[in-house]
Amino acid sequence: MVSKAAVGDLTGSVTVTGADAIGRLGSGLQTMVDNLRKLINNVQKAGIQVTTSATEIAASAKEQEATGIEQAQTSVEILATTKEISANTAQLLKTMEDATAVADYTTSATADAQGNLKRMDLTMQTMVSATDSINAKLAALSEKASNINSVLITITKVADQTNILSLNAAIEAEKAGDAGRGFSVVATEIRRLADQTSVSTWDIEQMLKEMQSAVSASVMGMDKFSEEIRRSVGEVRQVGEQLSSVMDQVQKLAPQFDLVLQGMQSQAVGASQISETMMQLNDATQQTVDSLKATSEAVHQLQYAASDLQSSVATFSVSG
Amino acid sequence: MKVLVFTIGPDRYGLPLRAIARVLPVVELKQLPLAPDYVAGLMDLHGEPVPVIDLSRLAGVTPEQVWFDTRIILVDYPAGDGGTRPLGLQAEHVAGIDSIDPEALRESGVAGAPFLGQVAGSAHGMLQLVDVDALLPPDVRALLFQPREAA
Repeated sequence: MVSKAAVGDLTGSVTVTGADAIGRLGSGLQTMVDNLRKLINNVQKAGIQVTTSATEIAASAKEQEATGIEQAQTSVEILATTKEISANTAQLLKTMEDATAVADYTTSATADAQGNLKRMDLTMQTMVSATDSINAKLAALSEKASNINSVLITITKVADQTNILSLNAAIEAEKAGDAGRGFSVVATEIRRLADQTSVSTWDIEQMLKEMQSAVSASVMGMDKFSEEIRRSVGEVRQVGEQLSSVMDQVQKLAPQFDLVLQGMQSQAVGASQISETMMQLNDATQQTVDSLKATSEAVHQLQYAASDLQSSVATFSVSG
Repeated sequence: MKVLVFTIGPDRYGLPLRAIARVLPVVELKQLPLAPDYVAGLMDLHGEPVPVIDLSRLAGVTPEQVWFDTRIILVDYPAGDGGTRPLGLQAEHVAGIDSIDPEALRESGVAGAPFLGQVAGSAHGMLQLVDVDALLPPDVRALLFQPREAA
């Protein structure tokens, strides 16, 4: 039995009993073998337990490693997306800056246009007053023409009377016979002058009539012109008001653009922060994966050790 | 001889200056109803009513309008009772005085109106003399110049 135990077979039992030294040795030996068997048995069980646990740990570590790798891939993807967001934000920022520039340009252009319109308004008012003064001058001209006309009427009357007077003078001269001969010549001369005067006044009258009709046509033309100018002034004012409202709207746009710009800038900052954090997270994940690999290695070594232990313990036979 | 030139229609006529008392401008005339149409009306000559004959109408031509040189020629008309009475003759385009060489006067040779006399060529074209005494037919003369006692 002792020789069996020496090669590892602990199944046997000591048959020697007794109160003597041999018997006590035998029972002691029996107790030792029993204890050894229990111990080996426990070690064998523990070895199996350790192997199982190590296998489980290895599986779990592998699983964690896979998760870590997956996480790393995800964070890389997130990083790419964040970069894309950053790029988009930068582009949007540029676009917004362009839009702001356009709005600014529009504001200044509208202000310029308004200034021009004001100048136009002033010019038109000057034109209106100029037209009024021309009208007044034309009216004065018309009045002068009618004055001339009344003078002409007087001259015509005088010429007419002179004509009759000369005829009568000629008649009287004829009646006076030879004594009136010289007077007759004078009468003829007077009549000639009166006729010339008549012809001239008639000419003047015609010219005056033409002048008066030209003046009244001018007055009418000026009236129409002033009416048109007045209408244009109204239209220019309307355009000015419309431009003002456009300017107000555009000026309201600027602060909104600023708000959008600020939002985008903070978004850009946020995106870069996310990027940074994701980088850190990526590092951490890498470290985790590394340490998991180390853990796996350790677990493998543990598995080797456990199987060594099991094979060592297996040399002992404990059952039976 | 010298004549006062006027027109009837398009033609020139002359009235000898000797027959004329005065030349007057056209004035407002009082119409005479029922008188012949060539009796233009009555004019007021310093308070005295003077009958006026329209020479154009007398010759059968209706005047277009009263021109600026339409005149009333005042003549001393033989009233038939030995004396003379003023008579107004309304004439168109009283242009002025023209001299006619008596040698150049010719009979017209045509029996027209009784008051139209000899013709003569002058520098301004042909001209026919008007005989004042023969202007009015006797009945019209009697109508216009009632005997003074009866008036």
